[in-house]
Amino acid sequence: MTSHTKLTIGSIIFAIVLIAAIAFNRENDYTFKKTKAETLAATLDSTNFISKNDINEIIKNKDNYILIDLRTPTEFIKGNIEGSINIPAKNILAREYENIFSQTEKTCILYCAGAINANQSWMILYQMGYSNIKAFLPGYYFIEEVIIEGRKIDPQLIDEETPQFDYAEKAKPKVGGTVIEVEKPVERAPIEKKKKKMVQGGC
Amino acid sequence: MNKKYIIAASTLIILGTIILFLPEKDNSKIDFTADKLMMNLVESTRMMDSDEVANLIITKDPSLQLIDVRTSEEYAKFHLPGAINIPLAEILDEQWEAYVNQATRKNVFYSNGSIRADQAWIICRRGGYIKNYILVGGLNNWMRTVISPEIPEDTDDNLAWERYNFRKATAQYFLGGTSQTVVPVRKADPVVKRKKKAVQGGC
Repeated sequence: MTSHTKLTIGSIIFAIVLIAAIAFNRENDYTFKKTKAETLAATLDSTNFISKNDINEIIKNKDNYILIDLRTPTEFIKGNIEGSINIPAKNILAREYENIFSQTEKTCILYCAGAINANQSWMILYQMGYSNIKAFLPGYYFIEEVIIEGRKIDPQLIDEETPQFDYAEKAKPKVGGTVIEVEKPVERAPIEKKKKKMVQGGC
Repeated sequence: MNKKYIIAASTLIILGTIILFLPEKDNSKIDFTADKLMMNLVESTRMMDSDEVANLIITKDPSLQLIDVRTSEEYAKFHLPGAINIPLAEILDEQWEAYVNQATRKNVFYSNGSIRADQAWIICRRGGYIKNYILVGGLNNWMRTVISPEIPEDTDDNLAWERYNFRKATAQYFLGGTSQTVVPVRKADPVVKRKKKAVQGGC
């Protein structure tokens, strides 16, 4: 082998490695597209969350929606809604699901067993710029029990943000006990300027 | 000989030009990405259960800062001892910045359930804030555990009974004594008001 061929092979390998490095060093896909303030506004916007009354319509009208079940595969196998897709909550950022979230024809509905995973997943996906996604916080068991089985569940137990007790009544100090003082914010009293009195004379 | 050098030099020049026109990667904009947020969300250290928070309140831990993310009306009706009110809608306000963006105290967000507190947590984490926690189950769970604990079954393990005993003690702390004996109020001696005498003398 002459030194000429060696050099050619060397430079070809060098070029291939360099091109490969450039190709794989793609921009990070996980950057947030929405700001904190936009996310907060969207979180407070109730239209991003499906209400209990609307879910019935959605289950019947599956053509316009993609139901995404965020529970674990074991839970999903035990029982699921026909036509729903299982994406375990910890896998929502996987590349293979990217096209489901980015399509614009159908609205994605996220739900999990409780509410916490659906909320978290929705917040992450919203911040990544996917706007066609809504969350159903009462969760899968609400759909199964109330809509499919037709049973009645105490609605207060489903919605965890509804107070289930009269807190003030429940936490009222009992007779004979010590009342725990609750800190109150100290209000600054306006400072009154004292008027200087004229010096009055002695006698 | 001369040819070799020309080939090598031209390869390097071509590669150099490619590098020159590559888009510049801006690392300064990537502050916090969705995959990192996802990893934070899975960690259970950001959750505090009601027993843990009750313990911190009772031991008067100076690093504890409870933050009520409900509305100010709900806060006015009932709130945990020592809690301050930062409604979720105002969490990004400049006036609260010093509370949520700090590194010395443990901020524990709570609401009626876990969801609002978690939303506040995610938005704060998005801003890169640390030392924030959420109260698992919120006030609903607080009432069910710390304030009125359920008596475990006889067949339950020691741990359940230990937990129950701890919660009985916390309930006593938060509600005051459970004894119904009313302590007779000692009558205070009537205070005899002294009559102010007119200033006598002078000229």
